[in-house]
Amino acid sequence: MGKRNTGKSTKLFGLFNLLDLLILVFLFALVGTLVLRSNLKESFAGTADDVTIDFSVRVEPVRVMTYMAVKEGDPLFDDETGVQIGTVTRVTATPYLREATLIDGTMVTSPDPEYLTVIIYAQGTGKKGELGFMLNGSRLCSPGGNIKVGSTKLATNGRFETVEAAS
Amino acid sequence: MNKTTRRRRGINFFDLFVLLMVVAVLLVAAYFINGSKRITTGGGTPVTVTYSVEIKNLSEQVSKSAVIGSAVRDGVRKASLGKVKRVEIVPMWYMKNDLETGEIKRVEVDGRYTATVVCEAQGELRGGRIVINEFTIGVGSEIALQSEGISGTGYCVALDYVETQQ
Repeated sequence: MGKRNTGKSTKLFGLFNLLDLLILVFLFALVGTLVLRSNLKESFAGTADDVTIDFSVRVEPVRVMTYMAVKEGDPLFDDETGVQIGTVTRVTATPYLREATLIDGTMVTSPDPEYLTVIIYAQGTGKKGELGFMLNGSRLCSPGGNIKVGSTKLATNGRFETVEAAS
Repeated sequence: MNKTTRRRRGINFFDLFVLLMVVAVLLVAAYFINGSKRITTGGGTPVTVTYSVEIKNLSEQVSKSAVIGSAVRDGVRKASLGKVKRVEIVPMWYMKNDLETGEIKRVEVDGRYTATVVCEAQGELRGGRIVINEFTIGVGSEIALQSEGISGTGYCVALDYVETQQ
């Protein structure tokens, strides 16, 4: 009778062996994590040293309030992960060129008097791999890629304009 | 009912322990899979944040219904975002091109209004970001504003802060 009680106490819900289940769950989680992460990590395994990366992010169409919300020296974040990806080195603004359809059906671009194209230039560190630059282990980036970009007073959507190793 | 009978029914201490372990492993796995979002908690500098939310395409009735001093929260993230300080109302406008020249002009919409709700809240300057009740805010943030007088989804169009005296 005493032997039977001891056996029951080691079974989860009276069905599974406690230790076996723990090991199985751990192994499944470990293997799953490694499989999902391995492809990306392999791409950057060859470059051990960080490189300095100059990049710019185009934000448009935005109004002057957005331009005024970011300035040189501000930290720049990937707003999806919360990781700082660089520091702002320069911000420019030009009139946003809006597409306009004319009465004859042709399309032209015309400067918008209210909206701007803001380009945020920044510098950060990261690694270079087969897939391009990885900014601060957070953001795989190349020109044309989208990013939710944030700063101390800014949180908006943008697109990488230039990405290159600092000379 | 003896001890053996009790163990056969319900969840015992070891079952609970295993469940907690499973949850912990899943959370760790999710952390690595989704990326290491670095959330720093506490240690921020207390600040008084003044921000504006622009809500477009409102009727005259709704645009004038904001209650100064009423509490504000984000309806999606359920975060308390301070109180309404003032409201500015202007006719709604949009940009339209001239069909012959292509020139882009600002055009007002008759009978529709844009309300800019200026709010004030206590927050933190944490890790270079402005955080109000765990809501990271900046110019461009989408806010599902809810308050006693006026509600609506809009974007934060202005933000400033001053460090709070302790």
